[in-house]
Amino acid sequence: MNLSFVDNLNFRREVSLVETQLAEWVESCDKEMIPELRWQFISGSKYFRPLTIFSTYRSLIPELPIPDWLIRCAVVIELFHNMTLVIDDILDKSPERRGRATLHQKFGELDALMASGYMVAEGYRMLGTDVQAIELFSELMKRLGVAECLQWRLRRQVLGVEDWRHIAAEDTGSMFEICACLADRSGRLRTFGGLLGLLYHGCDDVGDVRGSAALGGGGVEDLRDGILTLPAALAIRDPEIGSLFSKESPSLEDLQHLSKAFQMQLPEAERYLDQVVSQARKEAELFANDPEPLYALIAETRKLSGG
Amino acid sequence: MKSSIEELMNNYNLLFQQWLTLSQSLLPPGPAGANVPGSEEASDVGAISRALLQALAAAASSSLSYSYSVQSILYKHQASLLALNFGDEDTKRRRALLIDDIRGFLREIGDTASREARSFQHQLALITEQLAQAEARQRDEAHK
Repeated sequence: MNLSFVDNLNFRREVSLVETQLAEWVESCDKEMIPELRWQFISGSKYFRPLTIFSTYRSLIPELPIPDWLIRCAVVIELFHNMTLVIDDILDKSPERRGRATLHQKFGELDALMASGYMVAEGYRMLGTDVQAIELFSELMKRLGVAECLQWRLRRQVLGVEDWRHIAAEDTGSMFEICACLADRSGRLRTFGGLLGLLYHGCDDVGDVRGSAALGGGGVEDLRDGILTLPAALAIRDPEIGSLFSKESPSLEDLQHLSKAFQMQLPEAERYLDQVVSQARKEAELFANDPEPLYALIAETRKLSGG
Repeated sequence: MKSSIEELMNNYNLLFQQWLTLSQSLLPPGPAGANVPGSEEASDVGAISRALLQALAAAASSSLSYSYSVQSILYKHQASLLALNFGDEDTKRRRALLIDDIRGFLREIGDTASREARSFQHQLALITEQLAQAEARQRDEAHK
């Protein structure tokens, strides 16, 4: 558990419950799968998605404690999130995540793929008769699948910031949108969730270019694969950088040149993220009963760019 | 352009006047009228009239807020579009910036319209809820 995030948002008890339930669940799984799941769920998560669920609930019903059914939703979102991490790591051929070997690196691709399917199946089982949550998680699965295919299909293409925004909104944005909707079943904070996800995605992009370890990743894979990140979308407006970005097999020198061009765009990327912050705050102000927990969440997310 | 703005303002004015007249027509008429202030009926129409006036205020505020937001977006993008026109950057780069900016501009206009509509809808839902609760309270008191 990352105590600084959790304590700043005042959800230590709730995040402890999520951790405990996840640990108990891992031990209750099939013996064949336990080593893989233990490896994947060893602490190190920032629990940003559960924190989004809890903050949204508190912004609507500040006087009540977080209910048990919402803790269960938070556990399930962590299962779904970990499924996406496993798939991303396989796709990106990442050897490490958060300073440790990735699941496929440790156990092989078959085990990693099967474990990711196991997590999703268990997530749905845990939701029981919560039909609305089942609908929301189904929406999430479909959107994530489409976003991954879209992002992969559009790699190495000279596109704009608006295209980056669309991809980010469907990728990370959809996850946070669903987090907000799980806590607010009326859906009035859905757009807030989407903007928070967009902010998270953009901060991740910027943090990667900055070499920030805050998000546990690096920008090397995105650079190598020609993924449209926010700094990339800004930099490739320059035709020279655009043609380097679209090269099928860029040389090491090309990648260094691109990396430098992306770094030059960091101030503009930070300004863009500040605009997303304003939009998210406006949504919180208009639609939450008490926007303060959401303002705190935005502030914590914004720090992730490392700027 | 000026006449169409005046026409728009006149339409707004007419709409608000009609709404105001409707709200006022529901106010208790006073001691000489059928609805004696303080009576159950007077309290009933008072709550309805208050709700309609609140909705009118929310509609007016929403219209103003939308106009203001659109104006801010226009100013923001106008500045960047002008800068592009007078810049000395090469044509390809300028074109890429221009298209991205125009796409952002159009999205922001749409986002703003959607946000204002949702906000107005949310305010109306709160007013309706208040009205329903006032009605339920009255019903409960009548049964005591």
